[in-house]
Amino acid sequence: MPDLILFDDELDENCYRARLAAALLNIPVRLHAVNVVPGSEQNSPWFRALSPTGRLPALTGVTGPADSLPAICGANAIMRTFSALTPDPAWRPETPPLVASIAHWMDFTASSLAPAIQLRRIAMFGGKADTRTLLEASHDAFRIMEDHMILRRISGQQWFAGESVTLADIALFPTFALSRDAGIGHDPYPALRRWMRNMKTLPGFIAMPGIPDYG
Amino acid sequence: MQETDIGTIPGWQPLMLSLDLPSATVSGAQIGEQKLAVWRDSKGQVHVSDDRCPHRGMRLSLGFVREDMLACLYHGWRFDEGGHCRVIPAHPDIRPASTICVPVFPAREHAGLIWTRVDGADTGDPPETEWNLPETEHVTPVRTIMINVPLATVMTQLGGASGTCVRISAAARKGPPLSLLIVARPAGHARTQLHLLLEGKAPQTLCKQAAFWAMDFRDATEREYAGDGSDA
Repeated sequence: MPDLILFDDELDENCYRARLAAALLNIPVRLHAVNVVPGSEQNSPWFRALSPTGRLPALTGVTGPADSLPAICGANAIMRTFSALTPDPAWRPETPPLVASIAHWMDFTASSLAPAIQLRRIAMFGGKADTRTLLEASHDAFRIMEDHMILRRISGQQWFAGESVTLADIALFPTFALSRDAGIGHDPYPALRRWMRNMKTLPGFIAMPGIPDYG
Repeated sequence: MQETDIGTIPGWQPLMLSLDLPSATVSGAQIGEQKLAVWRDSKGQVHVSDDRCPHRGMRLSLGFVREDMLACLYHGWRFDEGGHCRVIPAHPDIRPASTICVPVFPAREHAGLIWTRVDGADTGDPPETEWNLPETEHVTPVRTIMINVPLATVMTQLGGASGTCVRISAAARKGPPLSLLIVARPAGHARTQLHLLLEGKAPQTLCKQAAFWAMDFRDATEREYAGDGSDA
């Protein structure tokens, strides 16, 4: 296992995605805290040299010195990197329907959950945006997730894709688990509540501020 | 029934599907203005209390269930099924005064649903008589679904039924028609909560069709309601 350094902001949910994936996939990483609020350290020259767009999380230590990549940036890229590194092949499913389904939900996280991620960021750290539109889009996304997990429950399944936990669940989990920070309660989403509880019982599960590890 | 009742709503009210409240968990619910914490102990018994910790006013439904007591997320005060505070973690050696308590409400489970009433009555007809429901073993719970449309409009879409508990035969996307039992409640402003059950012991395939029907019905009803709004 190479020496991996994860550039991290404890309160950022995308960084939590990477930390949670590292914990569940049993990937040892060293955390390097980046002072985003209030330091804006993500814009400093040393960090931009690693992550040219200032994006967190960022991971170094995977690609060789000959590689031109400064770092692996973004939660989805880092989660996929971890699945390539983990000794447990269960995190690298190969059947096309499952691969497709995981890709679908990881893309959903990056696109359809973006409003909910932004809404929480504004609620926690300030910023300007049309929060009403963001709130509606967040509810729309959670409704799609709830509908899916209702059908999964009826089929006797408890995860978003496949018969066991996948990267799709890790990608989706933080936004729903943290939605109360953005003023969105969990009560109208019973299927997602059940799934959230299942996530918290996984071996190696770690919490973050705003996500109690019980309940 | 009004969209937003200010006074106390009389009679038994359905809160959620029994299957949506696993053992040792708590969920929030609301009847009119009354916010509720609904929790299930490790023995499977359901309890309903006011959703407010008497200590700092934190919502108890955001808490957790420990040792068959409802614990507040804030400072861990624990309340038993009678609403009495039994544990204050900051003062482990002190037995909490009997005056520290949260109001509790009666809880019943019937027809795959959790029921309570907040009108102060704990006698009278059980929910099944009040709502004219079949025996528990004769229904299969499907899901609860939220529709962003007022109750009256939803009931019109369901065939003009006057009550809030209806039996309909609905066309499935695939296969035979579905015998649905629908229990409806207003859920805040211009929102309706439907608890959807199938009559009889339904197999997985029928449950799936019923879940599809619920999504299709919700989407069509919301589309129609939004259309009406823009025409007005």
